[in-house]
Amino acid sequence: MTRNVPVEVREREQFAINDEDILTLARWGCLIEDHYSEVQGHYCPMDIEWAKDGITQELFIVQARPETVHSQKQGTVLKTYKLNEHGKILVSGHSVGERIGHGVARVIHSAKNLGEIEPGDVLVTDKTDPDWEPIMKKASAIVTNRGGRTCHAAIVSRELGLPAIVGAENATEVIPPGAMITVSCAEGDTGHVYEGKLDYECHEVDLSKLPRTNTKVMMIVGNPNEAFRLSMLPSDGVGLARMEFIINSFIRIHPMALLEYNNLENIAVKAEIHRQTSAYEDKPAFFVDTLAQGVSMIAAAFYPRDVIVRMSDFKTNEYANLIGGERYEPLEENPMIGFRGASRYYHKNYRDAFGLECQAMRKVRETMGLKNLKLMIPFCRTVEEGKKVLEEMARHGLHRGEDGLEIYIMCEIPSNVILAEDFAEIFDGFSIGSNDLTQLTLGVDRDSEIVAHLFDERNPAVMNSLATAIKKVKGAGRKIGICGQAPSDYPEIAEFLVKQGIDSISLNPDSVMKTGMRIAQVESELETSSVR
Amino acid sequence: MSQEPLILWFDQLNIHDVPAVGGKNASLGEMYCNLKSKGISVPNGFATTAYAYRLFLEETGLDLRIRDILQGLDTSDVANLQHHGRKVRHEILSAEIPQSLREEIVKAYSRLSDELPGGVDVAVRSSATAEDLPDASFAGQQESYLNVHGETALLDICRRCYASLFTDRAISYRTEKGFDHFSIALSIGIQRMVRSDLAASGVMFTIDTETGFKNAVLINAAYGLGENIVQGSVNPDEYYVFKPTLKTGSKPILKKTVGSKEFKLI
Repeated sequence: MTRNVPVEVREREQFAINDEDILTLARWGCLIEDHYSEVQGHYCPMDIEWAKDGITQELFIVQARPETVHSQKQGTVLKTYKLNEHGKILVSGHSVGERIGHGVARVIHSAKNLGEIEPGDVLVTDKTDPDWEPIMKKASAIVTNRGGRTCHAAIVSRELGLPAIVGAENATEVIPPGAMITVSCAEGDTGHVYEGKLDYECHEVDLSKLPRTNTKVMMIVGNPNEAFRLSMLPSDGVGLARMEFIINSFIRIHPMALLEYNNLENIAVKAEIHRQTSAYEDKPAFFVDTLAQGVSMIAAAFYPRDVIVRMSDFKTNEYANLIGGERYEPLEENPMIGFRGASRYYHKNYRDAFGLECQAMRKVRETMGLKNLKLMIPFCRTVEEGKKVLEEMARHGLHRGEDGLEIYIMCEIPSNVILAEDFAEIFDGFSIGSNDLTQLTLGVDRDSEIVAHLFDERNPAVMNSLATAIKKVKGAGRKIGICGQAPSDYPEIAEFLVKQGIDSISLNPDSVMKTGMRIAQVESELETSSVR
Repeated sequence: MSQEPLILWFDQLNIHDVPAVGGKNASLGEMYCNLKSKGISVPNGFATTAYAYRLFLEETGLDLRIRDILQGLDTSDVANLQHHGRKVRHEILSAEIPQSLREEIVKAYSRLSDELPGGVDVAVRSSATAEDLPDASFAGQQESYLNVHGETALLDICRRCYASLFTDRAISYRTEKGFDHFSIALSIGIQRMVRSDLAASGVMFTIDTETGFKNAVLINAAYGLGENIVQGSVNPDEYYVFKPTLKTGSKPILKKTVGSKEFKLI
């Protein structure tokens, strides 16, 4: 009645349905979920099968049932797994769930060998079959060559609470039978199988015990694939979403090389770009789409809370490492204070690339409707430079103040502190970058081993600078937060900032709990002393 | 008093009919009746009832024979489970469907085909009446048959559907959850096929399956008929769409990832 036939390579590289279909299906999904939630009298996420008719091009829903894993979850305890060491990655695929497991790899090529599985083994196979369920229960983790997040292996693993990696392509060939392996689904949507037993830990956080604070506690997020998970932690949004992770991990190509693709002289570079962007005729569109996707995942995860994304802030040496990047980046003795941040955005060597960044941000705000996205300009040395950047952004359709668009500035150069009132006239908010502010206040090159011992955010000169910045910015009626490493590393800095009346503190996700508690404590102490 | 119906059309069903036609068919009826007006297309079809299943077991004497076979069942022993499962399925596949039920199925199939001679292609899916319990999805627990054409083939598949209630995994699942094997009945859903062999199909979750994030819809898509995605035979495309701004008119496709989609089922 049915048979499987191979799909041609050209077709495989394309998406199976177009954007209109994707949106129609998603709209239907929402309607179905809303309908069932109403009928059932409670929130009812759905598991739906759909089909598209190749003759009429119509879409159909052919099945819908309540989702069974997450809708059953109760309580406020958040379990998070963390890998404490890294090892050799044997194979990667789609991660299922967020756990980590380990065990002896049992590579099963046929149902006949299922009896080999001992409790605690990792089942490694091409794909699972519903008949295998009794055996799957014994496993500590499951790895398959084929399948997506909605396949049988994934659904059953989720129900059993097992870590699983599906669609790992050649897992059954690469993973040595009988070897000890670690299966990690705790690193975003790509799961990795590591050689050996790696050290990992599991934290349980009772979200109901977390106090709310007056000082906003926000997060620093780089990897968009972790955003959904991080959004479950209590926070007031994202104080710093870094574009660099997206550019490094998903784009990998220098934006100018994409813009000048047709004129590239280096054949090898051109071929590599072609390979990585084969789905795109329009090469710059690859940059815009990929950047927009990464940023939108973060903005969506925390919606409607604020998400402040910082425009690209690589140093020249980092830009040069992108594919095709060498051609566009000067060799600098001191990239930390060189062609960096705001100065690039209006310079002829980068302004068109900045234009692509702006287009991507417009896509997130305008096409996707994620108006909670705010933009931030890093390393802006002078007020005049700030104005130039704002003009450049306006030229690309990003008008400050229009449609709720707020543009922030990083407060990380002494000039930003000294002239804070002037900067406050043209920017909506400030975010202190404690790393650079320390480096530049103390004149310590962060990359220099010899003077590294002098780098300390707790130095009175830096603390004084922090206090001044907060006072001036608040006085000018603007918002100010901090998004550097310092409050995560040093609770006393977090405490100092709260006392100075800072509006928000952005922390690395793993410090949110600890530092959040500390902030709450400081606030209650301040309250008590003011009552007296 | 009129006899209980042997078959019911989707437009006669809603979500409260789980005891009669199982979760899947009741759900199709619910959508067919209530969501068409909102623009959602569901292919038409009908379902045999739990009453029809019990009639089948009684008229053929299968109920007694199956009880007999399952006396010596030990689900913790894979070989024992396989042996007993095979025996029960053999009994069911060798039995005749009662004439009254046969006639009803053939008549409805003909109506679904718009009286087209030879009939249309249909998808046939079994649905257990205790299926989709809130604590277990029964993932793939009962079988689906696609591109079924003609009444002879359809009746044959119906028998196979009945037998699918006694697959090894279904037997083992019920034993483990403490359900009596006869407390669960089986309904067969017969639905017009969508020609996705010429296009694409897939699965959609209205929640992120990995994190439980509620504001995103996850869609998987591959070429051809849908079974490959559920079975995990292909690596499908993956799309995420953001619900809140989709509902207010934006086009928030957050992420699209191309899958390798090596095969398609036709």
